[in-house]
Amino acid sequence: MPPFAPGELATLSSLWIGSLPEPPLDPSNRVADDPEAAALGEAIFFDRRFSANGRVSCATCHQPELAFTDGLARGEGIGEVPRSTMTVLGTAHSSWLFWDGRKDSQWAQALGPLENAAEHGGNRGMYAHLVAEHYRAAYESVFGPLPDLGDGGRFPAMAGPVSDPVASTNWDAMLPADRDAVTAVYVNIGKAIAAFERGLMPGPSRFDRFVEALLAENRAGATALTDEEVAGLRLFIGPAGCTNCHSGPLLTNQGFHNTGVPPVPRREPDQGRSEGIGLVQHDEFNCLGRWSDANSDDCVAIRFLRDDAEAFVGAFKPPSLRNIAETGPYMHAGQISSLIDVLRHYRGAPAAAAGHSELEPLALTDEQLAQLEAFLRSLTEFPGDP
Amino acid sequence: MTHHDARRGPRLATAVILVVVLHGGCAMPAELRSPSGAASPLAASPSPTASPARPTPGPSATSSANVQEGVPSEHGTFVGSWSSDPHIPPINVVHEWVLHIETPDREPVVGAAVIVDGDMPAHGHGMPTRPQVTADLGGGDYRVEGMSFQMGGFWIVDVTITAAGLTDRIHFELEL
Repeated sequence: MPPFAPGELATLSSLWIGSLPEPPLDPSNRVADDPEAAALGEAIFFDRRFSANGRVSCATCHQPELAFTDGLARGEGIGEVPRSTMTVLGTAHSSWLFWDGRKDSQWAQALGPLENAAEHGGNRGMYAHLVAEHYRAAYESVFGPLPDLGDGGRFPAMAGPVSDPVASTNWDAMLPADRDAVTAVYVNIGKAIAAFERGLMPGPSRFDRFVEALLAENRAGATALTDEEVAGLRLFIGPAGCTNCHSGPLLTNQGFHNTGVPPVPRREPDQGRSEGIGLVQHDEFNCLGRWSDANSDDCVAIRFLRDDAEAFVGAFKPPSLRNIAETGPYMHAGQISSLIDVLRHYRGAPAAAAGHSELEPLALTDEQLAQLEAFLRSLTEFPGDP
Repeated sequence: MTHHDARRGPRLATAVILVVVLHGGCAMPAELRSPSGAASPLAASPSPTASPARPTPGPSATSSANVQEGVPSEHGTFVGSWSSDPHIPPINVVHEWVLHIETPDREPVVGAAVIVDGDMPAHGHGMPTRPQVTADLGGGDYRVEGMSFQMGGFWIVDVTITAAGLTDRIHFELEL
């Protein structure tokens, strides 16, 4: 194997899982690093009672055995979601959550699906009652006393600012202070789930073992990748330009880019980040809002939010490539089934249906695409690897 | 996996010269074309002594991947320098810059309105953030928060300065 140049070694080191720092503090969530909150959040994450039909939990779409994705083109909860399920792994490092970045914290993200009619399909009034019934002690240990929800007139079983007409009507009839009491419980559910998710990080892969050996000048260890995979790696950090967006140890730059992925057949093109900007600015659960625990100075991402929506038409967040072989179908709505077809898309660089693609065609042979695919398959973590 | 060829952008060594060639023929106020040493309407107060750390503007200006000093604005109204904290601008990390703005005769420009933006011409996108000047530090220095570059390569950072009724723009060019 020809040696890597010093610049290439620096790039490899930057992609290595060992370069992943501790996640940045989340000042918007005062229990982000509280183990008790994480234990409560973990229990709720897997609890299917937190749904309209009692069959959907966070883990329905974020399955641990599939790297916290679902193996589907588009997520399926109560109904079908328009986009593909993103992994939860490593999201403590994300300033923006979801493909369009419409949430700015893990806890705000966790609250979205709970009240989305196509996902959990519930409402915050229902969730507050579930916490009171099943998690009272754990909740109160972390967050203090629950409000007294016993008066069914003031605190209906179904109530929230959702599309369901019964819950919506009930919500509108509640006193503002009672609505706030329920929302406070709902927000704390999100913050507990976030405390659990904060600890979910991808594990080392064969690629990481390879880089570790290279950096330690351990020739034997540097056989962790095959010649074909190493050839793919050289393309990945070189002429294929993959690291423009898939950089850092999570293999994403956490930004938003238009790569001209075709829309789902018979559907309008997804506008992506251009709509996510307004959504996060007006989200009641953003870092600057009253449910956040942060001082506004600490809300760096949203304070310096780039809000010129027209520049982000059709732009989506580059997903992490860790475990990518296990997390198809690919792209924001599962438009492409196989890794090799994803690579063909990047080679061909078609024009975007909405906005302007940043891609330019790549002069890569079929053999080189196969090498890139082989490399991508080396990014799967070892189950139970220390 | 975007295709990227940083070589299509002007190289740093030619950046200052390129600005002069492109904009040298543009109209500019007569007093700003006068030789250095003339009183400038932009100077807030007489400068006691020019700092030896600040090189004179023009073709002798220095530049590198992590510092760029003495870059004239399009119409020669201002001369700008930047420094970053961390010293080398990190990729994909929100960080701070300090801009230093002077007149061509090296008087610091204070009290200016300053707008900062970045662009990656080879990729057709800007910065992931909208930086803001959050403090006029005095002496021609301005703190810029919210700087972020989401990928390595050739970047242009545009700084639009308005002071004493005059507006002009400095293009800093970076290879990250």
